[in-house]
Amino acid sequence: MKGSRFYFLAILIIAGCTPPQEKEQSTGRTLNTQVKFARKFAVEENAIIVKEPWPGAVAPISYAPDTPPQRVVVTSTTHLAYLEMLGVEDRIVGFPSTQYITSPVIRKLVNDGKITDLGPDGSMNLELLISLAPDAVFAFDMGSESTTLDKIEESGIPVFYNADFLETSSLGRAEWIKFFGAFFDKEKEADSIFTSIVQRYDSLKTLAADAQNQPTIVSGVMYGDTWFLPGGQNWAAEFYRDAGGRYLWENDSTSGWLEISFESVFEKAGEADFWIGTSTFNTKKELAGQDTRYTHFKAFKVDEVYNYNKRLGPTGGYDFFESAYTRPDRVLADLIFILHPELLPDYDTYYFQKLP
Amino acid sequence: MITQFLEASQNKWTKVLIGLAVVLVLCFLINVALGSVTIPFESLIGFITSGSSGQASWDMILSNFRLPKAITAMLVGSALGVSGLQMQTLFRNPLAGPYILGISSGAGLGVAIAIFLGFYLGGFLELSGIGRSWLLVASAGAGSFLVLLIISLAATRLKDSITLLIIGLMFGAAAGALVSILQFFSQAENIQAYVIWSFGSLGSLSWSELYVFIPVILIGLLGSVLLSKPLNTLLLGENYAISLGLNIKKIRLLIIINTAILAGTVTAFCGPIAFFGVALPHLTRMLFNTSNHLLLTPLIILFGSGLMLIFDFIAQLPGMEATLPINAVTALFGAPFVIYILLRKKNLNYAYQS
Repeated sequence: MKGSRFYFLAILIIAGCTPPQEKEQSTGRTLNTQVKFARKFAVEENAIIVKEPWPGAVAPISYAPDTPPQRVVVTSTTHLAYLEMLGVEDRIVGFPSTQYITSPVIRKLVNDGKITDLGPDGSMNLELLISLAPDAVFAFDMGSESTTLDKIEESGIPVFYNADFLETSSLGRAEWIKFFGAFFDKEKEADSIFTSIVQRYDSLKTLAADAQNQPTIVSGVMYGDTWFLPGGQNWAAEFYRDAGGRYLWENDSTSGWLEISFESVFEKAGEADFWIGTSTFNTKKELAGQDTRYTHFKAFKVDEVYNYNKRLGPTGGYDFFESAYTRPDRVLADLIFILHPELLPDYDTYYFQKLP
Repeated sequence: MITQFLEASQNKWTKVLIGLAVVLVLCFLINVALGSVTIPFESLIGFITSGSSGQASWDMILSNFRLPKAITAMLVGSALGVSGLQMQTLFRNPLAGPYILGISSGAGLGVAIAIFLGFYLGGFLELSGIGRSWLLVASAGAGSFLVLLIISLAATRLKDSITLLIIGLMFGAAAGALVSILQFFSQAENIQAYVIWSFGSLGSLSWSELYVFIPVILIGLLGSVLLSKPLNTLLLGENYAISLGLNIKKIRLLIIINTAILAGTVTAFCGPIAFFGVALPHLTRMLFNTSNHLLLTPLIILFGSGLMLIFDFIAQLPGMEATLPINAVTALFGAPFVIYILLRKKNLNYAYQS
């Protein structure tokens, strides 16, 4: 999700937003989905319950899916990935900021005029949205989106809150495919896709557990004079651990991002073996051009700097932020290949690449 | 009698300035000695005397991080203080500061354009071999230079200094509007980068940038010392200054250029550092009880350097891994201090009486 890296700012503007709580009591379809990893939603016999629809929400929202929606608007690039995996991407009629979409299948739908651009993220063009007459809007609310979403609900279009970004485990986040599966009457498909992802993830994790050594990892870059890196409970940190690495901030208790002074990072990670995740920097030269002090890191000197920029869209959108959340197995395989290439001899990375 | 009085006063001020310089050296040493990473005192002494603290990572932290940051803090503190003083005197307005002419807005617009069109500029940069940090410096510099140009043009035409203030204000509003439009259509990562730039930072300059930053600021500070005498005359009022034979248009232009060099360079390299430039001249005038620019300028250079070192020290939260943005610290700790002194002194009028 594009917005997740912007989380720390979004949190600043969380006002006491209380959109109307939906308690639909219609006689919906009978659902049969088991949720194993996700903590923020559950599926009952005829209800999908989002336990924490937005950060800090106190009450769950329950939805009773009826007939599967045929015309939908989604608001996050991660939603696109789930729908594409379920094979219902052709039901998307509108999306904010389509220029950042990287998936070729969905880009084609945009270019063919099947998907309408609804304007910038967070302040969608409501008139345009309503004129598309969608029968469902799948949205996320990180705190500032609720005013727009309330208006959509007032106009009679149901809004379904997706809180996948609040999941703390990578498999839990990927399991949200079942959330969409339940709405689109694709429960079996969702279940089998997710099961195969879990199986691959587990076998990769077992493989990495046998690794001889655990190389140390540093992540992130400086903005101004402050280094932003994932907290020890962040989505990224879990991957580093499962891939047989030792993230130097793994004992930290933050699930968001840490803001740390350069000297602390250098003291702790100057000798780190790998540097993974360099934001918008795509070459070592760019890194050194931004701040020559980056060149003092061992990972920089021995050429072990990686970024998730192997797949970029035509206007610079990162496929990583679009589809990586739905495919944790791919992310894990990439990281294992980077940290322990001998374990995956014939592999080629999907999202990550070494900075030239 | 009079010479005796002057001598006594000269002695007094020499003592004050020397005292301030000693305090400044202490602030500098404390700033370099303490930070997120704890470096033992002996190692620090070793680094100062022999150039090595005994551990390679500490050497690197001291020489490439703390030292550049401390130098930057001193120059930023004195540059912003002096340019704030010049603007307050020029406009005879206690609310004026280094950014009153729209310099930071121009810089902000330049940076916003660079960041939000960054994806398209990336390829160009790789070809030309310019680093991204220089891109930000250049675009902020270009933005403030453009504002300076327009303000100077206006200054040569206008009789009235206050009109310049309003023009500066209008620039700020227009530039701010353009920045919001750019932000509105941008990706979250870029908005984040811009917002963090606008928080200001002292530690982002490496030596290669300091080689440009130090001489430019020193030239600006020298210029402000030379401008102290005409500034004293301006305190009497523009009409009175003219009758004393001051070429008001020329002086006004020189002051504006001097301020733009100081504030523009600081903003280009460190981002807009708010509050400091407005508050420091008041603090200095009130603490040292003078409105003579021949004294105020050196006082502000020394006092501003020291105070910024202290603020930076607070922002680093010694012993902790996290840091605070310098902008937050200057306002948070500076504002109560100013209020306290204002309440004690009860009024501000003294500042505009010679």
